Amino acid sequence: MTDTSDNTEGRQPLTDIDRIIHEPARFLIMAHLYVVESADFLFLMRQTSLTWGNLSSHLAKLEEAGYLDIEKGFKGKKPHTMLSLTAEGRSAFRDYRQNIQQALDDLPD
Amino acid sequence: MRTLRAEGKEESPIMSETIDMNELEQNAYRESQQDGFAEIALGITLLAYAAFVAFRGPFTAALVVALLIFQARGWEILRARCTYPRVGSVRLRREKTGPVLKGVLAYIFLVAAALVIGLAVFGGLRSPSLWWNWLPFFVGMMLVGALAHAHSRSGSARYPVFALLAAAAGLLASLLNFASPETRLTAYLLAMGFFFILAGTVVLARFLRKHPASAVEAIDDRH
Repeated sequence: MTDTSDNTEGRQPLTDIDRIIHEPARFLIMAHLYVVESADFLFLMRQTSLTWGNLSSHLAKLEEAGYLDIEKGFKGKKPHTMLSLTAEGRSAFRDYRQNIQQALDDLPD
Repeated sequence: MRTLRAEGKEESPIMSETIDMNELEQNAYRESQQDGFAEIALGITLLAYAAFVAFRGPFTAALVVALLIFQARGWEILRARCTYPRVGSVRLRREKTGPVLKGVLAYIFLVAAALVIGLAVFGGLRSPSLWWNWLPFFVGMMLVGALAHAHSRSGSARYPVFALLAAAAGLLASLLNFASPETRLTAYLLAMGFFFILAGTVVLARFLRKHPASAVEAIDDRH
């Protein structure tokens, strides 16, 4: 049987917290992408106030984790890259929110 | 103190700034609509309806149908040519058709029922022209519904103002004297159509001035 004492219940979600998402900038990127279908680089840069290099490196990490889908194409004659969360990314973000919420709710006042 | 508000329901301290998912979604909607194209598109659609009411016939009917089918794609192409990149681009999540359709039908039914009761109580149900006379107000209330939906999705303050104007103009058009019921409805649709085109053009002009294309060229080149 699994130990389900109060202490264990309180600590359990912390071990489940996704370190990829836990970084504030990446959390912000994922939150912005979670509420839309997809967005381009410039949109995310304006919304998150991250620099070009910073955003690029965080996006690369999210893509590496399988959370981000990158679709390259053209808009008119201009190159255009749309970014969206993968099903795995959406699920990871939902879990992260749930886990962090639970972990904080379990803390004593 | 930062807080995470999951879908605006609960609030727990997490980092050091407020992240409201609902607000983020509204903000994305506002960003996608800030070029004024949606208002111009609505204005053109209302002008096409006005042409249909005034002239009837297959040509104006085809014009309305063509606008409904192809307009969205047309605006997308225009956006790509005229306003992209400036603020970037975002595709919003599609709403589920079922609940939206149910909501629209329920709203139409409620407005129609309120109008029937209102006319029965205050005007009697004798004259058929009475129904025609109140059609601009009915259309105005349909616009109120659409604009209220846009407001709930965007949180933008301009939609309630537009909704108030659409309802007031509908009421006015229903109360004023016109040569015929068709003229009454056509006049209302023309007035609202031109109003939305003008409003959209003002919003577009502000958008182009606020977000010059040159400001994003450097980013665009690097990306």
